[in-house]
Amino acid sequence: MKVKLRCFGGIRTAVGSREIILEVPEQITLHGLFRLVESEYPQIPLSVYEEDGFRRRFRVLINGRDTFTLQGTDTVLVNGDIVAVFPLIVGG
Amino acid sequence: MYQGGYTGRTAWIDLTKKTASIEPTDHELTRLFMGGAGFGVKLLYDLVQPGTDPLSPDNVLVFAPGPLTGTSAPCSSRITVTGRSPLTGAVGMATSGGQFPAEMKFSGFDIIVVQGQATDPVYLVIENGEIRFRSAKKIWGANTTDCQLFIKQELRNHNFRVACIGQAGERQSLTACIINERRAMGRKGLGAVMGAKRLKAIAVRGDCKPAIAEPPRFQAERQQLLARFKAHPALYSEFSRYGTSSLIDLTSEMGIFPARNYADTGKFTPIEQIGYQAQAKDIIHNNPCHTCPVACSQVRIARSGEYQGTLTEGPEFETSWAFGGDTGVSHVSAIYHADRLCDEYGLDTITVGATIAFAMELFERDILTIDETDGLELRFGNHKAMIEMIHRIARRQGFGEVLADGALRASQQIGRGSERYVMHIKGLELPGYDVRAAKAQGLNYATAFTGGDHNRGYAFQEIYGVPVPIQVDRCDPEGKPELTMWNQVMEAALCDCPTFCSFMISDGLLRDTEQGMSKELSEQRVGTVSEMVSAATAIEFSPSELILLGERVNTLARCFNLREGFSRKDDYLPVRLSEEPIPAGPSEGYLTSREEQDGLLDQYYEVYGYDQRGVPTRERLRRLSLESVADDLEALGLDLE
Repeated sequence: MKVKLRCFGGIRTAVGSREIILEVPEQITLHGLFRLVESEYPQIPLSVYEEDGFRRRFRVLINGRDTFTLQGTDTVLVNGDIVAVFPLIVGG
Repeated sequence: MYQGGYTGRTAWIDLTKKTASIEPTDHELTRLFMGGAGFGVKLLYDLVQPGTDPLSPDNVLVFAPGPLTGTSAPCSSRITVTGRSPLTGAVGMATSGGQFPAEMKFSGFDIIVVQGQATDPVYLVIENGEIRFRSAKKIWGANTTDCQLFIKQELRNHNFRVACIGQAGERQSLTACIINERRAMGRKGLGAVMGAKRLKAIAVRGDCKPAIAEPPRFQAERQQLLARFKAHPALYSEFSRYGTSSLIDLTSEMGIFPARNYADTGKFTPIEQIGYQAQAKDIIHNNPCHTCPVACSQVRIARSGEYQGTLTEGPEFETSWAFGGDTGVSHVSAIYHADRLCDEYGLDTITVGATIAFAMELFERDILTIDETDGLELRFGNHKAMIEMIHRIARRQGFGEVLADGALRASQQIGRGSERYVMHIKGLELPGYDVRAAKAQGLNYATAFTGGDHNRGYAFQEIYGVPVPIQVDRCDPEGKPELTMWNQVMEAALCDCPTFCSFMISDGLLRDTEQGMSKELSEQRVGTVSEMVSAATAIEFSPSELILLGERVNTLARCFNLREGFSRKDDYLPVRLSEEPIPAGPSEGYLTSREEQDGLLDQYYEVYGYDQRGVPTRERLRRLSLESVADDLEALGLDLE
């Protein structure tokens, strides 16, 4: 199945692309996706997110929703899901 | 005698008599209301009688920074301007940063109270404790850049900082604001109040830097705050670089970037065309407010196309939304151009963009004809029509006359069912968050004492994901009344009275790496601000007193509105948000039903100590040292519990 990874702010600059379409195994969790992304894009240290929640570096949304409103990093992804990784954002 | 923070002087300007008097800043006022918004609300309540026409000489304009403004406290150069809003009839309060707020303190004053109405256009020169009136006849009709340049030239000193109106304020357009440099004291039509008073500008300058009463104590807190900013993972690396434009991307991904007058949220998300990346390439430099180490405000230039060469400071997120998402325009340079035009004419970008978006929806629905719009194809996405409409609004020309006083008044003129498409609360057009899927942000819109305003109690927990004081699900109404009160009180207590930039407070001070904050930790952070104010002024404000002060300011502002006839019925979202679900995208299906709003309001009033009509109880007013206000309300026929 495929999921989309969208990157913003400095993360997008590091990756060089706003959107990456990833071929991933069925039943992959957000945690599993992070491992996969980190192996391909070490410039996105997503393990920080898991260690510190979304406080220190990133905010991760799955289809627009904060992960804590789902099952956190245990959330099982389905085909077509959009995972957005933001730096912490201020101001509006 | 003030030992620090305050200059100790208040300027009272009577434009009718063309006189100025200087009085000591009242000690009771500073103790109970501190500064900024507190001063504004208290003086508005005391000086403006119920039923006063906002455009009459009897309205006031209160210019008030806070006790920290002009000190070395980071991000403290903020000012509030307060008067009765001609757009809403409620409290009209606008806030701004930049250099003007600090320079006003340096000019020697804590507060400038403007009353009356000049016979001929004037501007005020306030310098080192002295006040002069000068004729503004030569600059009546000038845009805001020319006005500021003229005044600096005429005074032969480019160190003056000027707050002024453009042509829109002169014509008393209710969409007019006050501009200092390229910053706006925006929303609520206070530019029209200044225009009605024939006050073109206020120029300030001076060397009266406020003292710090207890320097070591003040410096300790200041260093701690700066250290927190420095340790923040995004303030410098992201916010300095991209400013508020990142919100376009974030709210779009959340599905709460309102599109086409809130009809198409989730269907139109022009991130690639107008989002932070599209805007980043056009940044020339940052333009920090006084004492701000972060400098989120950026100057951009359109580098190509028909608006090539347009230079603007901004656009901030709300402006990008108003002239982008709300109008369905995906042309980033057109947004820059609209932003610059509004700054020059002295128009509020949110109100003008939202009013044009409203008219566009009417045009699309054939409620408005092309004859009525003077030949303009006022369709969503038509950036040329949008730009032309801004000119016509500023000049009150043709259909621009209909839109020049905001969307609600336009709908009252147009009729034909157009009222349904006005996205407003208390007459103030809504900003750029679709609150059908951000419940605390929505309750704040509904209950803010200034109308549909994001600045009176921004739900940064829902939008930025700051888990303070608690982590919340933006789509769940549970717990939102308590959270909304917390946000509104903190906005007043930590930001709008001392004064501090709310961006820095919500993130730099409050965000934490924990999964949420304990009550004790929240109070500790409030203590940073109360310590800074206490150290600067030698007037002790404990954290609990500071919180009580925030409640006092918000409650007195509500009482001003009650006195003007506002009631619970004015605390509801527009009908579209309660009946039409978000049509597409990540927040598809969410709405805030009337029943849900009733429940939220019941609880909100209860946590504030108000009855179910939204009227504070006598006991509540007594606890807030507002006993005389209870008598005022009863005299008007409101029985208090």
